[in-house]
Amino acid sequence: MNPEYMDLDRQGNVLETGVLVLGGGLAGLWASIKARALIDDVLIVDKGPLNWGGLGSMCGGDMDVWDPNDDVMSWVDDLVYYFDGLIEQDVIELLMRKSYERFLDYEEMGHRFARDDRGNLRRVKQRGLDHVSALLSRPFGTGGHNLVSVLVNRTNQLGVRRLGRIQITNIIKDGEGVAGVVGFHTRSGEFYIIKAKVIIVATGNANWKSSYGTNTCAGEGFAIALDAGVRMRNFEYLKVWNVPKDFAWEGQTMLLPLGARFVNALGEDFMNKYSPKLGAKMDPHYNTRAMAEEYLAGRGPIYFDASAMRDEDVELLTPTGGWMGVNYTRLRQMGMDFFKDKLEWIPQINYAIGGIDADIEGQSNVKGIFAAGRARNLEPGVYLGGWAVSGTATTGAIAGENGAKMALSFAYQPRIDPALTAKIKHEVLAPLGKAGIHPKEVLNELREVVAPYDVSILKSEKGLSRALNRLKEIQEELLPLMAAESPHYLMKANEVRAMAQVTEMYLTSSLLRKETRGGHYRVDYPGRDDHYFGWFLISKERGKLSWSFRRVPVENYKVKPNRYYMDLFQSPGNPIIGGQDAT
Amino acid sequence: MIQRVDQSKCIGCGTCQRICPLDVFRLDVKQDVTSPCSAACPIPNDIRSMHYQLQTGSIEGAVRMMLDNNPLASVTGRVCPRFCESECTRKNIDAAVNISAIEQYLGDHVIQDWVDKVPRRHAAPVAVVGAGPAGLSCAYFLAADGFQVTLFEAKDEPGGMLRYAIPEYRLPSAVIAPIISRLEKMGVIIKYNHALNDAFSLDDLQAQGFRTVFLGLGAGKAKKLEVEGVAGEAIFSGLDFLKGVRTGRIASIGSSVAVVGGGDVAMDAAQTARRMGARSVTLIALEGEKDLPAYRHNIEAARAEGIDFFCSLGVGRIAHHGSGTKVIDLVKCVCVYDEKGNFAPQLDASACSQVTANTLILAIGQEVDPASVPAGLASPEGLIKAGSDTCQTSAPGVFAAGDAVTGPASVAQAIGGGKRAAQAIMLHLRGIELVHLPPRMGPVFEGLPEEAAIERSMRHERQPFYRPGAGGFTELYRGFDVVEAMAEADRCLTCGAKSIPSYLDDCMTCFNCEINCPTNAIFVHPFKEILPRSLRPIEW
Repeated sequence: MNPEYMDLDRQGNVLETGVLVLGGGLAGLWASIKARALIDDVLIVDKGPLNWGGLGSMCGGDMDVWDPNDDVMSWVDDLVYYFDGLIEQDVIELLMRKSYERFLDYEEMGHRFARDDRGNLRRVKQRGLDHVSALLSRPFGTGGHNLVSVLVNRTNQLGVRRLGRIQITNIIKDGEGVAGVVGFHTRSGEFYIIKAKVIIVATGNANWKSSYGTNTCAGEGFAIALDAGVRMRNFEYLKVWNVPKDFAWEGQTMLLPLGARFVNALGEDFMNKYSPKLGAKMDPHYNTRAMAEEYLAGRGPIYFDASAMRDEDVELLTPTGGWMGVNYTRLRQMGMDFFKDKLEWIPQINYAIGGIDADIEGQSNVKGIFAAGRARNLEPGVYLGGWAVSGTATTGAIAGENGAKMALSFAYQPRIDPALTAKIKHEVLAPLGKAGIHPKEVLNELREVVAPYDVSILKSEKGLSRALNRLKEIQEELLPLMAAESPHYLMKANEVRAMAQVTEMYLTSSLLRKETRGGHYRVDYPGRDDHYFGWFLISKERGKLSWSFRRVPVENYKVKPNRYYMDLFQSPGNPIIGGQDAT
Repeated sequence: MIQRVDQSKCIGCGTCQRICPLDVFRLDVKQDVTSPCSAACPIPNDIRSMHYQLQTGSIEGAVRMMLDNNPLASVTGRVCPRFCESECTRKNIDAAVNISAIEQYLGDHVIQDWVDKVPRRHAAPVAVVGAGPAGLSCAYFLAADGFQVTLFEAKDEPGGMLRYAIPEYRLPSAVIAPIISRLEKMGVIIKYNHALNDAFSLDDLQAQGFRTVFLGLGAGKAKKLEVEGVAGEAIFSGLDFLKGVRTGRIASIGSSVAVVGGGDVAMDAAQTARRMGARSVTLIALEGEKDLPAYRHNIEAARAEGIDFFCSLGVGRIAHHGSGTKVIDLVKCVCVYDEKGNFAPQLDASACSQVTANTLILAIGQEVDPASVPAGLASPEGLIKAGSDTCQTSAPGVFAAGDAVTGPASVAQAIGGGKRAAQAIMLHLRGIELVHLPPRMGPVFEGLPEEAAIERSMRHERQPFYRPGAGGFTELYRGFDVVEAMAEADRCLTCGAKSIPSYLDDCMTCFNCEINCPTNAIFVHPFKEILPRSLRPIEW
């Protein structure tokens, strides 16, 4: 018998930890900081750089923080309205309360938020809501980078251990609970076996690599969680963002209130037509829906026009530091002036909103597997400025605390069967060094599946079914032919396989939800339907995805939904797809 | 999207490959320019390349490379005074990379199913005399190249000074054993209790067919102190004391111990005495506090153990009292060296004090045992004369290196000598003039440009198993685990390497590489990948 089947140490590097955090971004860093306060051994494993800190370093750093002078239930009421009722009110109340604690933590760690002359925090109301507001990170332009830095420094001070460039491929269970994970180094292919009492999944959202700061998280965290029996939800929602066609730009929501506008090919500020109340200040999902409708009506392309902004505002919002500074300067050198020229913008899928279905303590349906940050799903598609900075801190801390408590509650280290890991190792590394289809080319096919408007923004039975048929072909014909000439491409191939599964979750969930709510817009079902007032849950059984449904327990909640953010948006009537009247 | 790295500006610091979220970059570490650490290493180890192996996640690659560089990494990782770290570029940023701890990690790492057997590739056998660091190193490199090597050792166990001069808590015997068994698996025959000039001569080796010989005789003879009362019970040389403790021959030393000497053997003897239970240990040295010849880390370790330092003092006479107590007269040492730099201590007998001790250890230095040196090979100073670069002695086919050539020096210098001698022997046996020996290193990396800003990062240290001073002969420091080794190797700036954009597929135009490049060598075009732009209307 192959000696590997008897001995873990012969298979690769074996490590042991109490709490294992998958993903070292904002949520994973928060989880490890709070876990480390309770337990000695916390290990972060990331497939990215060792001390990087995740995609949060690219964001503006603004954070939705509950104002303790305000009634927290007013915030819950705002959010129930904004999310069209599809939210756990007890969870959202807890997170809002916790957001203030995490803000205090951030300032204690040395991060700064903007204050006025009298020292009061500056708050910016979000998306036209009455209460919910964000604090602004200072200094402008490098806020996200600074948030990440203070957290990384704190984890290092606390002695949180860290491994970089390791892609985890499987969660190993011990009966009903977890025993650890296995994975490989994405540069060398060397195999790792990590024993853990508790696993916190903080791997971010899944995306199709839109090249807008989101190319790293591809849904492998969900793939391994599904395989371990974890339930997912809200995969019918995408974050669709309006972005410059050619380059990246952060901070449009700051520009819009200062005179910047989206205009169509006719020069019309079209959003006023779709949302007379809020115009382009509405959630960007509605802006992109309007952009798509303008295209279909023959009034594309869409431009971002900042030429009406006052000079002092332009000066205030001209990026000077960080990646935005280099970006802006280089565009100017190429003859493109962001503030003076009309530059084309397009709607683009940023990532899938769906994630792990967790309880209020952050634990999934599988004992010992917790979820944090964007990997834990909260919301149905629409997206507040400052939401992720807030949510990564609150859900990260919750998962870290509760995960550590659970790890402390049992003394033994779970056992891992060497025969099982030897078999997995063989399967995981099998594509290595073989010839086959390059993962990036399969990714392009998946992008083509989700890209069309009738699949991603103005969804219809026809579009979604067509996409699902094409996906099946890709899954059957192309996925098995993917190979990996190096460990780097083995990682990419795993990403693409995970993306294909996310695509399946997206398309099927979108077909199932025959109504419109939050960021999910069905052209053929443009209204709300109480029949769908709940969550489509996804689990994996015998290798196949399956769906179930759980209603929102609104009878247990204080706020009874009677107003809906989605109603602020009206389609004026599109000759091709029909407007609201066509229903 | 990333467009180019200007190779003329790239200094190889690896910042781009360290921080790129999509892992676009790799480094080319095979360069003519030598990194400052390797330039300072007497062996020398290709430190940049080994660290890069770890940065690319290949522990196996790094371990194999370590073995190709230095077969005694588990030893030097523990006892080397770290010539490399004193030159590390990171020293000027935050703290030197803990090269030593990484070396220990690689040296200690065991690769399963290692193929040790090397096919024979040479006709003539080689004799290596002395199984200390120089001899073990030379024997390893010759055997690894396919030579038939026979190793002759005077004592009944291998290791030389490694075994007898360095205490167990710094270098456990368990570390030496695998090095020897690896050599044996590679086919090296070891003959113990074979002392040169005693059991056999160079002529005997010649007669046995060894036309090529390496001498790694070491400097294992303790120098004698010439003062009144120096002989008697419970008076040892430093080397005899350390050896006696290692072998269990010396079991008790009383409650007070005096150690004479300021070098590493003295420091080790003093700390060992402490661990033997001596309540008071006094170290007497001719040199001033700041000029002690021992390595700094060893002095600090002795201080941490609570050794009392009596500096700038010499020994006058030693009186023996009935109970075995020795009273040592101390006289002030005015100066240690003469104008020419020769050892010539001047004592001022008018300033006198006394120290009493149950046991006295004299560790005033080591020298080559003249009885071990073959006739005609010795220099006037009592060392073996050999070319510093070629290791060639005046006898044809006889090469030498290590302490016997240099005088007492570091383990790394002995290993480097043995390695160089092996290279010379390989040329010699092909009839090639030794002027063709490749240079030990290329031009040295010039250092970071002044304006280059490198992100700071915390140095990892080996943690003690127990509090210094708590006694015990088990190893004091725990070696790195995989997490620490990888993290510490990630700090290495791979000085002199070049960055190569290698995996361009998924660059997300985040500008991280360009912004953080300390020499502005990277250019990122602001336009993103075109393909995901495909979000577009279809024919409805």
